[in-house]
Amino acid sequence: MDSNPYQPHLATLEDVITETSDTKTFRAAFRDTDLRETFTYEPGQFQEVSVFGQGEATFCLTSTPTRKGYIEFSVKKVGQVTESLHGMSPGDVVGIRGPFGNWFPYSEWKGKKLLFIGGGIGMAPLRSLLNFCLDNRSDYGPVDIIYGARSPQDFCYENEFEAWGGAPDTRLHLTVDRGDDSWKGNVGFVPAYLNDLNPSPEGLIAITCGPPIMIKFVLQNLDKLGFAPEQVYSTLEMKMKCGIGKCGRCNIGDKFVCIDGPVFSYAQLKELPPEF
Amino acid sequence: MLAKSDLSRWLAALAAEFRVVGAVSDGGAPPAWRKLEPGDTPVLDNLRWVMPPKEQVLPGYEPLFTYCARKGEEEITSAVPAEEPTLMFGLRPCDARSFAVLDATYLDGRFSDPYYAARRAQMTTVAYVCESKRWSCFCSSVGDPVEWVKACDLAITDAGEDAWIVTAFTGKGEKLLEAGGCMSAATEAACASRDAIWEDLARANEHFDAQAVARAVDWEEPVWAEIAGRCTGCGICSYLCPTCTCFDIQDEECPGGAIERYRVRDSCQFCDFTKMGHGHNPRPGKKERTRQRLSHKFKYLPERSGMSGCVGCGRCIHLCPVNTDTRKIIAEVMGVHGQ
Repeated sequence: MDSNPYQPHLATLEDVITETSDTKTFRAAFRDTDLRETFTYEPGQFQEVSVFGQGEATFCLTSTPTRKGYIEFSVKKVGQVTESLHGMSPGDVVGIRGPFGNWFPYSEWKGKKLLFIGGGIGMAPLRSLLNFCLDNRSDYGPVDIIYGARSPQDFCYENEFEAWGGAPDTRLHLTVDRGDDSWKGNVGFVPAYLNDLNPSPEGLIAITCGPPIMIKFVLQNLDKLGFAPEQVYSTLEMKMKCGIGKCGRCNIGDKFVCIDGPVFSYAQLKELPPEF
Repeated sequence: MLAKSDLSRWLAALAAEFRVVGAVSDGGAPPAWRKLEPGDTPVLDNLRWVMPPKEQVLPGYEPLFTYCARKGEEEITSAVPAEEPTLMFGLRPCDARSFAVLDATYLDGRFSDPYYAARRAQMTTVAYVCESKRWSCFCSSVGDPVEWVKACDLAITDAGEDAWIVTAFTGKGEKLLEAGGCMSAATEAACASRDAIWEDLARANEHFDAQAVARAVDWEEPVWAEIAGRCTGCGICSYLCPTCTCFDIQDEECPGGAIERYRVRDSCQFCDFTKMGHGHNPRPGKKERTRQRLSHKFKYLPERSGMSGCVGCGRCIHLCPVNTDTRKIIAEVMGVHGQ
């Protein structure tokens, strides 16, 4: 990391993948070829992406540090910067600064079973960890992925479903809020599908991210299924500007999501004031 | 001791080595901090004035870098200021302390802020010890202002009509005493007068223990709704607070096509401060925003760094258009939950 944490590195967009009607995934490579190889990060960390002239916005790193040479971030179109990004094409220049924040404590999870529970664009931070674990497959026990979207058209990362479901001892469980004629999978909300699958908490770590309402009920249901709060992890989203604990936006009580988070165990979340 | 008639001679000698910054009343306007030019007389009276010195370390508007957007020549040019020996002349104890509070955030080891760090790196501090307080002052409620003074390099205390007594606390301060050969030996009477002023400063207010206040400040405090009921959300409290430095980051296209990224002072009291792109706002009302500002000062910062985020300068009390009184809020919080 440079000594000036406010100053981004220039990066060129290499690929833009349309995920859904409002979400795209961007692959960017640093212009500095040394940095392309040396830049590293941890699953769960985030970055600030600049569209020069429009401003900066916060996105998690959805790529895995096990795959070098580029970084990826997924962007849902909601405001000025995200709309500008959606108008960009391969070859365009963006600024990247980071990585910021803490990360999933994966080194403590070796040998454990992993359960990923994602909803919509909330799959973005989980994807980093998921691909990281699949790239280090022998370090972990069985992996289950529950991924829900509003409709079959609202899944991100569909081009990876085969790789995820086909990895050794790994199962992908898809669900949609509303199906259509061609949908053969489960129909129902993620928290209900979690109950149907009824995972045993024995030796398992659950990692969840999605819309706040989904996270709320997933946490409740995991609790009912017998998961201890220390077995459950999530990653939070708050308005951020600086990413380094200065600008004063993202704190929940005395914790700054940008430097103390964004990854928290459910045990830690319970200690925070109910602001989120 | 410094004869009051020798002030300009001493300042001229200091200006040879430092960019000397003091509070100046330009054309009768309220004193404001700026670089002292030859002939300027900094305000050295008893009263804490309206503007805090935060602008000298964290300007309300500050370029972070410029970006050249010309195709194929894309490049970033840093705007980190050069370090410069700067002497802050005449800091009230509260304002002197405010730098220590800001240091806790901006010089945090994980991510030091290079803009702030450059301005603080070669800063020398000269305090002016208040001989009495404004009605709104409450420094000695939240800490020990004499200790804050002693954390400076030098302190000036009134020693009667003709002279100030000048006390050094550091090697840097000792050197300042030598500048211009303006100092004379302190008389016993002057030392006694100084000690009396310092003692008075330390004991003038009812004391709140910062850690006890931090423990007492509660999320469900009824006082948050009470304050919110009359608060207009104008943000003057944070604008004038010496330790309120929240900021926004913005881009602007400059003439010629370069893009400037700058930060600009913001306030947690404004409604969009925490509003996210998709519309959710974790602090949607004045109650949540009031709770945030006061909890940050009196709970979160003490819990994070061990020091009160409030220096008791009283500006937020003095200038609040609806007479919200921070002292009464702390008293109420302590009355409900304290001890």
